[in-house]
Amino acid sequence: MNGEYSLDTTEGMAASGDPPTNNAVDDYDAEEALERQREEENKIKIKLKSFEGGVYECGLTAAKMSVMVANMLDALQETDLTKIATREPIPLQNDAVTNKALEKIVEWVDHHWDDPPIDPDFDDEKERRNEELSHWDKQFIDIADQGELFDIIAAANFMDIKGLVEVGAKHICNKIKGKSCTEVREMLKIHNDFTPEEEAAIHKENEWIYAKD
Amino acid sequence: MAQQMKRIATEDMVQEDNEEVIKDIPQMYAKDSLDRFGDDLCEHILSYLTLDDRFRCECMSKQWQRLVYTTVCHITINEELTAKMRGKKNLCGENFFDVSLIATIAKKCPHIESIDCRRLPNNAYEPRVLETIDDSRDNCLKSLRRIYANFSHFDRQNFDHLFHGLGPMVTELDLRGVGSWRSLIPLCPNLHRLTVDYLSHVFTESADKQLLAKNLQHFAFKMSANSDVQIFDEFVAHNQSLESLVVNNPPQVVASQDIVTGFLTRLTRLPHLRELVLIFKRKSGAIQYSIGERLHEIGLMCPKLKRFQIQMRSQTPQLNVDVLNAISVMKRLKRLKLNLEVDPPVVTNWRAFDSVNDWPKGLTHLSLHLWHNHYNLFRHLETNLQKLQILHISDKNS
Repeated sequence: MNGEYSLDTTEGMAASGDPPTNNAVDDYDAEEALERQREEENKIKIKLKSFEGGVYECGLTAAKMSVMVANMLDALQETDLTKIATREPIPLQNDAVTNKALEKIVEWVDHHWDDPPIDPDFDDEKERRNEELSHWDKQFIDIADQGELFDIIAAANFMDIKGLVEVGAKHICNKIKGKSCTEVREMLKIHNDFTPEEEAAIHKENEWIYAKD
Repeated sequence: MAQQMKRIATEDMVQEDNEEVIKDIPQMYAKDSLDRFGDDLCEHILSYLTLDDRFRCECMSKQWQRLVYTTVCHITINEELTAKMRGKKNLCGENFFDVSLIATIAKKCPHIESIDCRRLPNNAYEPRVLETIDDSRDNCLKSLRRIYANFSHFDRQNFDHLFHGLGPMVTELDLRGVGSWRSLIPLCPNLHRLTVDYLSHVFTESADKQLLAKNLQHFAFKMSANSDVQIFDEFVAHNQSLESLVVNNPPQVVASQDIVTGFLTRLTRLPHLRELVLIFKRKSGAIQYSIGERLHEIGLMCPKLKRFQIQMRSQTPQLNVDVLNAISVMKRLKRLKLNLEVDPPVVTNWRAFDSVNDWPKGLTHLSLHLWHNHYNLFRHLETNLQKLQILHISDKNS
């Protein structure tokens, strides 16, 4: 087999005359190795501590979906990853990270940590934005208690878990779709800080949106 | 921390007279109110709203008014939107097509980067829409960088005038059926996707045949019976950046073996190719020669190839087997679509699908329409392609 495709022959790649790919994930073997590593690392469980003091266990790879947690772990400069498991729980100092919210967040990352990575050749950012939520995500985020839902979104935002913030955002926007202004305001409990005159002026400007063919 | 504390006055407090004091008391909103989110998070959430919902919800609060339009980067002028333009009535009470709506939207959305006009229900509207976009660029649409349009229903005079302004924003052109418009290509320096009828349409009509399109990323053309393989050399030399290529052999055309293999050989000089589509739809004359070796070379020389599609009808099963064998060399392939038939139809021995064992393990999308679906094929697929997410199999009977 041509050495160009194996992981450890950087020499071979340079000699082949082909510009070496700086993106190692482009290579199937490298991709495979990375995946195995992620699998192994996820067997290591770390502890996360909510603002209310509740401690929740979570696979390492899953926990690293939170950019904030990943950065905190990096800062430890721990080469022996198994030692991370025996450490004190990582405190999440934001009042949105309630026990309930953290429990749900751990459930989400545990389900999503092995999602296939985004391939820029096939996944267009614009298309992804318009993509519907998966069945699992829809059920996950369909939470009756709006305060709890907002806690999860705010907590995911604080922990910097982009995928989960997106799920929450799409869920809210789906609920807004097709509703009247008054209905939305009531549903999301938004305080109207416009004077009646100001509001009427905006309505006038945007009245074309209600036009029908 | 993204979430900011916001100062608010509750209803009770509003009744007090001393507003100064109230302003100085920071207070969190109720947990179940969207008002609790700071501008960053709120803006991000609202970025998933449809354009329609954005305009309807601007009046929600001052925070929404501030944030609801900032994240509009792309607008598609689709049927829904044009229905609203048509809904307007003039002074005599007649409906008319109100293009000024585009300017209205543009004024509110300061960060529009791209506008897609290809889905207008009636192409006759397109010139007026594009003119309005061009006119609006003086006071808004400052971020506009891309325009997608069909460029039909133009008369040439308007066309050239418009293209001098908008040309740099055009990144995709489809000149099928309008080969004579090739003179537009140089007016679009940022073009990266081009579709033409024939390869000769990317060269000037003059005797010296200047190449018009360089540094493309996506290109699609049809083979003709008298295709000039030589001009493809020049195209390839100046389009090394090419990532995606679609070559179509239309039903009525029988390109000779020299032409077909000539084109395929030159594809090996495109090292950045990620997507290759080869369609031989010829009505008469099944392919009588093997292109397996050429595909093998492409697999070796185009290591970034991730998506491959081929459709052809061969005279003997072995010619198709050669194609199956070549797939094994395309190590990074993720998506594969094969439509291979044999004319006249014959059944192949079961070893024909052995090469599937060596197919790239990273395949995630596979679509097979083969001359013969053998049990062995399914067995190989099941044991070797663990990453498959989507599998589509059909035969000529289904």
